[in-house]
Amino acid sequence: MTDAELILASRDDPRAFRELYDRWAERLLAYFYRRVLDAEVAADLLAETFAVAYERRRRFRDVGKPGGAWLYGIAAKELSHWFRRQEVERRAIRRLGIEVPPLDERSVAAIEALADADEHRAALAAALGRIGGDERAAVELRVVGELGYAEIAERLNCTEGAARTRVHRGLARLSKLMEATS
Amino acid sequence: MSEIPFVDRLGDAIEGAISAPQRVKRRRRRRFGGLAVAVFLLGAGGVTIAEILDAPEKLATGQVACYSEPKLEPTVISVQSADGRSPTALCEDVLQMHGTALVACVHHDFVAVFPGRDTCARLGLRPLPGGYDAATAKVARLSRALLAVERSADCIAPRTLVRRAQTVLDARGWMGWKAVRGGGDGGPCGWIHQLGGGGEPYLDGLRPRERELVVTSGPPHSLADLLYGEGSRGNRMVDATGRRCLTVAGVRAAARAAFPRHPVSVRVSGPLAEGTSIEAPRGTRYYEGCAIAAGVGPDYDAGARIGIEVEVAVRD
Repeated sequence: MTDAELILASRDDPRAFRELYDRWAERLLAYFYRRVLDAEVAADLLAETFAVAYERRRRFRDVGKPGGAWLYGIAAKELSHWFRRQEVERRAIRRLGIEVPPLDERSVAAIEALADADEHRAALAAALGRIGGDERAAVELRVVGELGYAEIAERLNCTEGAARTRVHRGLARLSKLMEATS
Repeated sequence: MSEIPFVDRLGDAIEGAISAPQRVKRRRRRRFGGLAVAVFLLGAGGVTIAEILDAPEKLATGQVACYSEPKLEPTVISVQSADGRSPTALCEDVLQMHGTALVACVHHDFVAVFPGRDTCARLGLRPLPGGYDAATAKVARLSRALLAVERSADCIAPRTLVRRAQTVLDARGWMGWKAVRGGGDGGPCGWIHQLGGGGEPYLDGLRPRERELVVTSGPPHSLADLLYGEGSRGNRMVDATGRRCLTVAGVRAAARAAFPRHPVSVRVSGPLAEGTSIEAPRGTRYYEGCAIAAGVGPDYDAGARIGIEVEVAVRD
């Protein structure tokens, strides 16, 4: 069955939706991880994306485009929400009552491997060099240093709000640059 | 089978949740488990079972899911409203199902509304708890009081708004609730309500589990209204980029003409992610290779004044 056929079949058959999930989950997880560089966030984004996809499956129309593009469209929206708010939208997860399992160490390592983390880090370093100095510093402190916004603000001698904005913008620009190189 | 254990476990969790018969069975077990915990806590701390199972206040501060069909499946529209209307009245408007008998019940930790008087019982969902209407009215009163404080000036610093919101919570009997600072876009002003699709404010910052009211940061209200309000200049400018084929420079010129009093910057975001849908006519223009405005937002780095940043999407 094609992806589009699976989406159409999933209107009445949860097993079809599961098959769609099995086909695309890893690819979407890698897509998220490469952009947010945080396995926990990527896992939550994956769960919300499929919850939203399930809720919207009846709106899907097979117009000859790949079914994967429909999923990526939802994924891009979820990612955009995360970039804007720095938190994963979990409404569809809650509505469907999905209990997202905890992320174990083995899964984290496998996600990093899946996303070609080493190769990706090299591309990331190159992309980091292409974003502005303030934003680069903020992103490095947040992602590499795992600092809170208050600490980033202190290090960069700016307000907490400005630190948040710099991280947000830096990650958004980084994401675009990485998208262009992948 | 995936080599990532999490992927398989999440797949199982999703499959379990979307299979209606399994959901009902699991729900019964969970309710039974919840009762056991409640009895234990009752002995330990004097908390009532009704509070733990149904917590009217918790439900009233959460979302209402409006289902257009009498089953636990979409189409569902989730709304957050603190205007005091009953969930069925709210969903009547949202679903445009006036004249249809709707019924409200509790699904997990939110209110679900379905067509058909017997739907809740048939799905094994419990009715709204006693005290829900009173709790809804209480939330509506809180929302109005907070909105009055929030809109008493064009911009109240988040820290100040946290303090004022705490005063409102205390004065209105929201014992144990704490106003806290949350995320936002890094703007200089505090926000408690967010703007809905039609530009209407809705209370979005209540976290019943933590008993917190979150104040986020954002732009001055006048700027938000200009950018996102119903029929706002921002929305009109974005829509207008679909009327004819523009270059990036053309979008920049249109944005500058739309916002002559603000510093305007343009960020070219390049091609949108594959599969992203954009409504016609902008979508048509985009796929023709024209530049379109993908969105507008405040630019806090514009200098002394807050500027406006226009995100431009173009395929090549």
